[in-house]
Amino acid sequence: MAILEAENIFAGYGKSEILHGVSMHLEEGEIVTIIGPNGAGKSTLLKAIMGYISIFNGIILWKAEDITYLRPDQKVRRGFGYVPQLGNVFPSLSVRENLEMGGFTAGKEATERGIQKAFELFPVLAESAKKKAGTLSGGQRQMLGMARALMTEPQLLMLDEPSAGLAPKVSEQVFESIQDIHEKTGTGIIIIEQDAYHSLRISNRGYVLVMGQNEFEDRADKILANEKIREAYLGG
Amino acid sequence: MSFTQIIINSIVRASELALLSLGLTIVYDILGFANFAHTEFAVVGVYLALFLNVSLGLGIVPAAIIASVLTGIIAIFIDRGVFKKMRSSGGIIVMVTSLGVAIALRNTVRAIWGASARNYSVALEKPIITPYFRITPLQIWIIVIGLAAMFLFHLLLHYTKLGKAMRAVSDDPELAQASGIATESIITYVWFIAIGFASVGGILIGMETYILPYMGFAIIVPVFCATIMGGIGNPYGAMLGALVLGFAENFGLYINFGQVLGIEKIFHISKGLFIPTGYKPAISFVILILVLLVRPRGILGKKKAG
Repeated sequence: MAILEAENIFAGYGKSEILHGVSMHLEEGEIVTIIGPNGAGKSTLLKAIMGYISIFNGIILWKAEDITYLRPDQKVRRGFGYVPQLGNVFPSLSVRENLEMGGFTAGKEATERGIQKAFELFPVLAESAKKKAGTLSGGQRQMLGMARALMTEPQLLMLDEPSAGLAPKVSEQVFESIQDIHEKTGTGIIIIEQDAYHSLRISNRGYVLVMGQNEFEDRADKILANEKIREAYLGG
Repeated sequence: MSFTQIIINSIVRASELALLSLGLTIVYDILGFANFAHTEFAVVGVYLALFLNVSLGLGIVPAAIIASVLTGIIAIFIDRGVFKKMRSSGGIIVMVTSLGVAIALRNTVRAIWGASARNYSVALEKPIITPYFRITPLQIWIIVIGLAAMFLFHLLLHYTKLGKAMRAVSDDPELAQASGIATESIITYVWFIAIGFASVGGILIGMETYILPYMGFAIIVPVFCATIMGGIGNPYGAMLGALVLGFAENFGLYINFGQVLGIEKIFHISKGLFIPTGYKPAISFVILILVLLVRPRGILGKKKAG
């Protein structure tokens, strides 16, 4: 059964509409990748699902509950996790404080347990626990961003271009960690990617968005095998 | 006036300014606008304390505490009723709104309590006189309260969940929301803390001098100067700015510029060349300009990401 269903979403910034009736869903524990050219509205879709921008029409269901107009912080309390592309950490807070903020809605003990888990998952974070997040490398920031979002043990983790701006090797590590997270927590994951090879390889399904509308959807392996899609959106 | 006396006066002034500039800077940091009503809120606290102290006969300490709490709550209501509606329009609009709120508060206070100078009913206490300086018990209290407020603020920011969440919202409000922090509730706390501190600062100034509806307007320039000089948005900058300004205002008047510049002999100035007392407020501006020339973001100003 789908835990998240977004149906016919019209959304945008201020009065300018960017999504013109996008639909998608996520099964429990599934990994889904959303691909598409620049300006297709991929990040906008995540922001709409998370509650950052105005939704003009459409409905978002979470476990059959209408959550279309809830605030981001209310969605976090319902099991959403979100790692934005830019500004994925609090730069002036220490690594540890970043994780504490991730556990803002959890109790003290749960937060402490979560931090220990995060340090096991990402040993590099344990080493730099007292460093300011602003001093971390791009790859470390991405890991910290994900670890922060995992503090609430979300059932849905949304990652906006987790490999953006990272060296190929580092970006590989990031996808390894995403797979690792998925195996250990079983959380559902939505990934947005510009360079979608890696991402589709670890996904169950994929969506192609173009000009704020659904263009195509299929199983991830079929998208990877589809000549046309490869040529158009995966760089051949 | 002796050297130690000027230092004492400077520290007293710095403590008062710090209490006011701390709140101004955190409101700027979290809400993103320069609140021109900040010192007027403090005056509301000053007059509420006057009412509790003189009209109801409460001791000055409980009166000051109750008045500051009430003023903090009033600030929350004004935020909900006025500022909140303007927030999505951007910082400039909210800043102009705060000018309007300032005028409204100042004149409401004047309409209720009148325009003449008032005083709290507190017993006059003998100053402590030493060969080097004299200091009143009240001035000692001002220094103690100023230091305590700064220390409490530091503890709040680094050792409490609320303080860390405030820093998180300051860093990145969207990411804070993605962490489950309801930014509006943080804003509520920020108003209460900022205006509560400001009210305490105002009451202390009122105790040391006298109470006027225009005292908020009179203090707004040095408070803004201290805040901007330290790096607006940075609480430690506000504290440092207050200290620099406290010293500059007091020492500025006692520097013999004739001697410093070596022009005494040329122009035959026998009494020395001092800044006239009437120009004291200008000192804040000159220091502010000098600091901003060297460090455009203020002494401890941080670069905003993005």
